[in-house]
Amino acid sequence: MKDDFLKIIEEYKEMKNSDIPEIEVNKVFEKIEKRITESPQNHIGFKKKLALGGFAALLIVAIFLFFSLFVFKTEKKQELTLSELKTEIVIPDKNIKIMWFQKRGFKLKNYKTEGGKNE
Amino acid sequence: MIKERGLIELLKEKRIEALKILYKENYKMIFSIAYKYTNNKEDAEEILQETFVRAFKSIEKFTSENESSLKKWILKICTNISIDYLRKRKLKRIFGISEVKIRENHETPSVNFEKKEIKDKMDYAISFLSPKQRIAFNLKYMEGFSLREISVIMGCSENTVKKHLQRGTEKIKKYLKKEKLL
Repeated sequence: MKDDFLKIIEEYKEMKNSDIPEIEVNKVFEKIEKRITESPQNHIGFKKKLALGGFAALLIVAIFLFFSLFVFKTEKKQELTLSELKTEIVIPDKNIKIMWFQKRGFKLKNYKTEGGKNE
Repeated sequence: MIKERGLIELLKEKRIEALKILYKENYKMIFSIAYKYTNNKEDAEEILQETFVRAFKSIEKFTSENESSLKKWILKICTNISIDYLRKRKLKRIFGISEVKIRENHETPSVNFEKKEIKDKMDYAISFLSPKQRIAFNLKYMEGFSLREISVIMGCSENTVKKHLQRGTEKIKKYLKKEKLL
């Protein structure tokens, strides 16, 4: 059984070896030479490309964050339009100022006194 | 050995004449192996070209401590390229991108019918082996390399080579039995 298999393999090997076509040796070498000389000298490998790509992506994200956080930060604290100051009570000893406005929706806590504390 | 060392030095200096010497010494073996994998002259020629281009470009990586000889190192490159080629071909076959040319007719009229039948059936059986099984099978039975040499060429252990060979031959035997050749 094993011998039969090896016999077949031997026959197959013989046929395959006689079956190999001829090639134009010099012509093929010219093609190899051409491929070597024409390939870019500073060819960048896949890993290097990946690392460069990652670095570039990181840089873009950093720039984007910088601009979004510092440069394009146009949103400022809205200046509160105080409409019609109705009344004002000042207690100088306690450093307290009580004010009352007519405008609805006005958030008193956003209004700062000279001392900087929220009222 | 001394000649080989000199050749390696010249190759590391990127001397194209050295590549020509290397090519002239090894092209037959590489082309023959590549042709046995591909059964196609154009593809085998492509593998041959790619092998020498890659060898020339990565000669710095060659160390005689790791690889036993320049010949085996080139064979290793050829094997890796062939594995890639066979995988791509398998994918193409699976997705039906193009019909794979299993074999070419180069037989002479003197080849008798029985022999031709064996060859065709063997070609067919081998086409169903995985790329690594096929490489191991070819290196062992067609090129006559030892298990140790195949393990160096394929970059795996001897046991892995044995496993590839065992599974490969089992598949072939099964097919041959079915075809009543065994």
